[in-house]
Amino acid sequence: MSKNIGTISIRTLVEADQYYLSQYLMDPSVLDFFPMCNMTEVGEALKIWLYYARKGQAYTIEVDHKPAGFAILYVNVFKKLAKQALFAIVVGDTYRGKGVGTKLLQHIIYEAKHTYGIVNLHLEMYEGNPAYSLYKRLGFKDYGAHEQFMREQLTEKKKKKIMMQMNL
Amino acid sequence: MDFNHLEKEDITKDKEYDLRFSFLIDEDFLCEELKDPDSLKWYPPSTESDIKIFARNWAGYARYSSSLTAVYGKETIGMATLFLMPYVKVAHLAMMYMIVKKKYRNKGVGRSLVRNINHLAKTKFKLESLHVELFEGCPAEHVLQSEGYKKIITQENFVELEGKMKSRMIYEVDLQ
Repeated sequence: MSKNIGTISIRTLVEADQYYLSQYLMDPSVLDFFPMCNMTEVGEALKIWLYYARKGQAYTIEVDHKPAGFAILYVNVFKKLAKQALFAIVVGDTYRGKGVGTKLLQHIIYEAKHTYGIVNLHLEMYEGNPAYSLYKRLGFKDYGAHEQFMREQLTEKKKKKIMMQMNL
Repeated sequence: MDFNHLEKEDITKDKEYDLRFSFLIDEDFLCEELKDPDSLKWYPPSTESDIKIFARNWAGYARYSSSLTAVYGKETIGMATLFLMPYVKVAHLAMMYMIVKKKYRNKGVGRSLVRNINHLAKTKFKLESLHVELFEGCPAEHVLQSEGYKKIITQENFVELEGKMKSRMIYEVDLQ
C-alpha cells in the first residue's frame, strides 16, 4: 500500500502539534472509533497525549514537513507493568492508505522494543475500525473482546472493544 | 460454584460492621494496606512513591461518591470503588477496584463490598456493567465469581510478579 507521497520523517510529538492532533482527533471518521465525542473530551485526551509527549513517548509522523499522523505509547510508570504497553495511533484523513500508518506503527514497535524494553505491545480498538487489517498485517493478534463497551451517540448502538497484542 | 465455605466467619452481621461513602482521607488506609507485600502484589504499584500516586488517584473517586468504605468499629477495613469513565460514550460502564485489610479477609467483607458497590453502580450511577482487572492468582477471584462476575478476557505476559510474567484477567458483571 506504500506510495510515493513525499518525504516522511518521524519525531517526538511537541506542544505545537496540538493544532493538527486536535483536528485529526475531531474528524468524525476518527471519533467513530475513539471514546471521545466532543471538543471538551478531545481536550482532555490532548492533555494525556502531551503528558506522554513530554516524556518522549508520543510521536509525530510528517509528510513533507507537515504532521500527517500521531502515535502515543503508554509506557507504565509502575515497575511491575513496565514490560507491557498500550498504544494508539491516529492518521489524518488525506494520508490514509498511503503507508503512513504502517511507518508510524513500525516506529512504535521499534521504540517499544528497543527504547523501553517492552515485551508485550498491545492496543484497544473499536469494532469496525478500518485499521484492523493494518494491525493484523503487522503481526498483532486478537486476545480478547469487551462486548458493548462503547455506545454510539446517535444510534445508541454499542460496539465491542477489540484487544490485540504482539509479543516483541 | 459455591465459594461460601471459604469464609470461616462472617463479621458483616456484627453491629460493629458498617459501610459508608469513602472520604479523601481513606487514601491513608490504602497507603497503609498496600505497604504489605502480600497485598501490594495484586495491585499495579511497586514502590512507596508508586503507592502514593495510586492511592491518591483511587481515593480521589470519593469526590464523586463512587466509593464505599467498610468499617469495623472505628477501624477502616476495606474499600470498593467505581473508577468512573471520563467519556460519555463509555459512561455506561466502569472499572471496579477493591481491597480488604489482611486480617479481615475471608470474613464476608469482600462479598459485602462487591454486593454494595454493584448496587451503587446500578442504582445511583445507572451503570450497565462493571469490570475488574485481576492479576493471575489473585485471591479475590472467588468472591467475584460467586457474585456473578465472569471472566471475559485473559491477556498473557501482562505483569511481572516475583520475576515471572503473569496474565491479566478481566472479569465483568452485567448489572441489567
